[in-house]
Amino acid sequence: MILSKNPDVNEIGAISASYTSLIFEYKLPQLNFSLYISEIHRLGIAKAFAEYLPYASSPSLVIYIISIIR
Amino acid sequence: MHHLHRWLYILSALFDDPSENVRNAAYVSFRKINEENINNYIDLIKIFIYNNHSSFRSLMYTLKDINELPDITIEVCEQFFKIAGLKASDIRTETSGTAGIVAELIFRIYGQTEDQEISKRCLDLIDYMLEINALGIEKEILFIYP
Repeated sequence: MILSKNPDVNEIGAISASYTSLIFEYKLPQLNFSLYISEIHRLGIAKAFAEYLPYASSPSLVIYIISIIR
Repeated sequence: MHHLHRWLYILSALFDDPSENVRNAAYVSFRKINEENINNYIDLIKIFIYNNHSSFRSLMYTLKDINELPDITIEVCEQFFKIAGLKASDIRTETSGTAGIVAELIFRIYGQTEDQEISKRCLDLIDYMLEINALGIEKEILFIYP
C-alpha cells in the first residue's frame, strides 16, 4: 500500500487545485521547481520516488506526493 | 516533452535540484531499475543523462547489475565522458571511480551488440579512454589481453 494515510477526497481535490496545477500542468523544465516547493518537501518527494519508482505513474503515488507537500 | 508522463517532469526537476541532498535522494530511484523493468525507464535515463551534470554513479551501478544491457547504455557512457572529461582519469575524484564502471560497461556492450554502429561507438570510447588514461580502461584491456 503506497498511501501512508488516507486523506479525505474533498481535501485532495482542494489540494489538487493548488498543487497539481502547479506541479503537473506547467512545463516543469521551464519552471524553477525549487522556488515553489521548500527543500524539505522536495526531499520528501525525491524519497517517495526512490522508494516507489515502479508506481511512479500510478495515481496513488501522486496522492502520496501531495500528502508530503501538504 | 508534452507527451512524457507527468512524473518524469518532477523527477527530472529533482535530478537538477539546487540542493545536493535532494539530488542524491532522487538518484536513489535508480536502484529500483532492474533487468525486468529497465525498458520502462529509457525516457527517464535519457532525461537524466542530458539534464544532470553531477553524479552518474547510481545509474552506472544499476547498469552494472543488468546482464542484457539496453542500447541506451552506449549513450549513457558517451554522455558520462562528455561531462566528466579529464576528471575520469584523476584518481582523487569520485568521477574516476565511476569511470572504472563505465569501462566495464563499454566492453560488455561491445561483446553483446550486433549493431555495427554501436560497436563503432564503443571502439571510439575505448580510444578516448586510452587517450585520457581513464581509470579502469587498462584493467579491462589486460583482462582481454593478459
